[in-house]
Amino acid sequence: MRVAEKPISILVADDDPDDRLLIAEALVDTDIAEGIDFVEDGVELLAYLRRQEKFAPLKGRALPALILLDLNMPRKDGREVLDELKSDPVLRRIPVVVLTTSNAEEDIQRTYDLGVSSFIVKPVSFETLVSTMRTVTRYWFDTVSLPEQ
Amino acid sequence: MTGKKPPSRLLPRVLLRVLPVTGLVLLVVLLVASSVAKKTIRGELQQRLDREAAQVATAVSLRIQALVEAADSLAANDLVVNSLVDFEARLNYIPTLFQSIRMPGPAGAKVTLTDYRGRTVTSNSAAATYEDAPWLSDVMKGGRLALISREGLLIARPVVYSGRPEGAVVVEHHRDNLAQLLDVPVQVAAFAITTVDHDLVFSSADTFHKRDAVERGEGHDHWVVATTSMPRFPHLQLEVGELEDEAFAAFHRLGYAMTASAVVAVVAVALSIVATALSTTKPLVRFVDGIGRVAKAGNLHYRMEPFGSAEFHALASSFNGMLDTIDRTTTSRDYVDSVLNSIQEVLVVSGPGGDIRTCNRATIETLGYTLDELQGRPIGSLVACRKSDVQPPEPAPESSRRTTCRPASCNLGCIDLDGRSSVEGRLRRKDGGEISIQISTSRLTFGESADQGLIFVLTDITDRKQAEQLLEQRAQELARSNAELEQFASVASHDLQEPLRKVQAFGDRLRNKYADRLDQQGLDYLSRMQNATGRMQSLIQDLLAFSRVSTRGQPFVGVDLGQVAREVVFDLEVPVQETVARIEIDDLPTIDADPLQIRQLFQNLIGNALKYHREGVAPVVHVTAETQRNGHPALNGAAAEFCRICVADNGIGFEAEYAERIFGMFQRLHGRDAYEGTGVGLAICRKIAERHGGTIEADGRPGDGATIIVTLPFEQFVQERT
Repeated sequence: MRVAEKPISILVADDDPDDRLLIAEALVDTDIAEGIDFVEDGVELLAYLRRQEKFAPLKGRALPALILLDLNMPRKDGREVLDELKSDPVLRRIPVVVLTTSNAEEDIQRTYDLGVSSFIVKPVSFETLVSTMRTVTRYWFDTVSLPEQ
Repeated sequence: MTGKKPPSRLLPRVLLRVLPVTGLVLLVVLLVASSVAKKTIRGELQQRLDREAAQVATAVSLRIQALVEAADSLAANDLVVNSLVDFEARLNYIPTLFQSIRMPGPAGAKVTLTDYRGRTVTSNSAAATYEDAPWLSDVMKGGRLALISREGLLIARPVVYSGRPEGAVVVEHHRDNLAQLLDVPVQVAAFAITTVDHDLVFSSADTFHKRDAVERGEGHDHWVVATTSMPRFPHLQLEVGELEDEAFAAFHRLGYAMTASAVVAVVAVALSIVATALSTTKPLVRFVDGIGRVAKAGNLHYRMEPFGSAEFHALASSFNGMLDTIDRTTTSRDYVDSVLNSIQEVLVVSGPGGDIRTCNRATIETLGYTLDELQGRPIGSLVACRKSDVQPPEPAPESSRRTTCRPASCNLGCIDLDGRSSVEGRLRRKDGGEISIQISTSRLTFGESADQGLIFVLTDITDRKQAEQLLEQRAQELARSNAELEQFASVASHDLQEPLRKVQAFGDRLRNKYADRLDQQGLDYLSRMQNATGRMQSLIQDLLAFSRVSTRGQPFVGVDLGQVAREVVFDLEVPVQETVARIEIDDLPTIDADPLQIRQLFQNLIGNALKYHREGVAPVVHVTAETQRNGHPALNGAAAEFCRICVADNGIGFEAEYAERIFGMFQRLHGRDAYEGTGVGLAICRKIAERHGGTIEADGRPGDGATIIVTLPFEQFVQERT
């Protein structure tokens, strides 16, 4: 059950189109079909959040309530993005969940150091991905309270 | 002796000492003998001359006496007496008588008969008158006259008639006849008659009566003279003489002979000395030669031939005996030299100060110096040593340390001169080239003194150093290659996982969304594809796990093996229950290890033991441990305590020939449908054991269980570089 007043807005940053498709399908299976935007790398992510360049028309729209961040991306990878986000006085409030294929200990430690909210290794099977997405959305949109924008 | 004048030889010394003395003694003997002999001869001569003088005097007197007696008998002749008174007789007979009279002695004697006034009555020669003769009156008084003078011999005898001298018979020999008259047999060279005033009356030899003049230096004859008085002629004296040259002729001949003998004697002595000296020095020279062979050439097999006198025989025998003893009890220099020269390493013997005394042939060949150039040189000018990669020497007890011999010339401060030491260094050749060497030093001690010098054995380790460098290079290359491989495995695993995950995910999507549109065969294909991707994921994950043994290793800490094993058994609860297994874990020790890897090790080993159980037989796994000493790789192979862990089961076992192969990557002994797995588990175990400096091996027989033996050191002396 979802709280109606709380609009779902998720930004997914992943360079892999397959993953973007799978995540999108998994979110659909989780009954979340709207309020999801995708960017393909760190540069696009920051441009999106700052409503710059091709994302300028989005000015006035609310920022996403949750960011699903892949670590290994071209141009600007997840770690750099995370570092910039957490240095930004406004953007730092947006919870970031790392969703990556890496399960390296150093990546886990590093990203938590940088202030990530959760670290999730991409599930192998689609069913697991669906259940993981369900858990994440339930948690962030039904369970916890997020700061008002 | 002044300074370092070389000692003179024996022969000249003996000659110089003996010959002058011998010559001097012989000279003195000669002089004394000649003096004594001369005196004796002179004395004898004098005595003989004295006797001869007496005999000659007597003979001369007798000769004159005979003349006197003849005159006497004429004066006493009756006719002569009567003639003085009987004129007839005087006229008839007497002249005839006197004309024919022949007196004894040489012919020519003037015989005259005078009257008492000295007038000639008759005479056998004319012109004889003695009327004024000084002696007439004396004769007319009855005196008898015999007068010898330079004029000759005059004998006057009175003619007595009736007791009264009435005339005289005068016999007169002319001086020219004196020689004949006085020709008496003599044993001397000459005699003479002189007056007591040395007026010469007669001389048997011209030179004799001229001897006074000779003595005044005008002639050249020396006379030895004896004088005696003439019997009946008191105013005369007789001299006899011998020529000195003649008298001493024999003596002089004797003198020459003696001188010659003396010279011969001196020469003989000299020759004898030379002979003696040679016979003495010749053996000595041979001895010196023999001793030289032993002392300088070190030939202890030399033996001296006995020769020369008994003393030298004894000496040679003693010498040979001494050599026998030395030969038996010591090694000869030849022997030592040949041993030293047979050594391939450079061997140098130095004094306590590091000054080179001697070396072997290899030294000369290696360095290019001659032995002469090396002797006396400080060893430090040839050898430089590095203080590195030397094992720290065990601290020597204080009492054994010596404070002597740390000279600057030695210049090898890194060498522990207190005992044997061995360091690496460099050796400088004459041509400037350098060689890597191992310097082994030991102190030379023998005899009374404890500090006789040092022995350096320098081993050429150029090849070894090059090999070490090559080995080090290879090790680095290998390490880099391994690191790259691990990096590759790690990266490849990640990147391989990514598409694999897609295949699986879209496989799932296909099955979930379109299963109802696929027929049975399509579904079978799909499930085979998904199985294959599942295996692929296992393989990749195992490969990643294998590479992470070295890349993601944790530091070694104390790990309680027993506790880890029990935790693993707890984790394996599901298969334990499924197989109704019994797992016995003995007391296991605590060792230095990576806890996660030890956990993985036990997980793989116990998991395998459960997996490969025999059908229908409940698995029994026994984990034991014991302590043993092995060579520890971190201690350069020095012994250390190891823990030998055995994981034994009663499962299906394996053929002995696969005991090594099962530890290889992706090595499997069974089909996938029989036992699942990738064949990486034991390879990971081996890698874990090796990372800990341990080993792993397998023992087993088909159908009779398998035992995996892991041997790990108790202590990790060096932390691995991470």
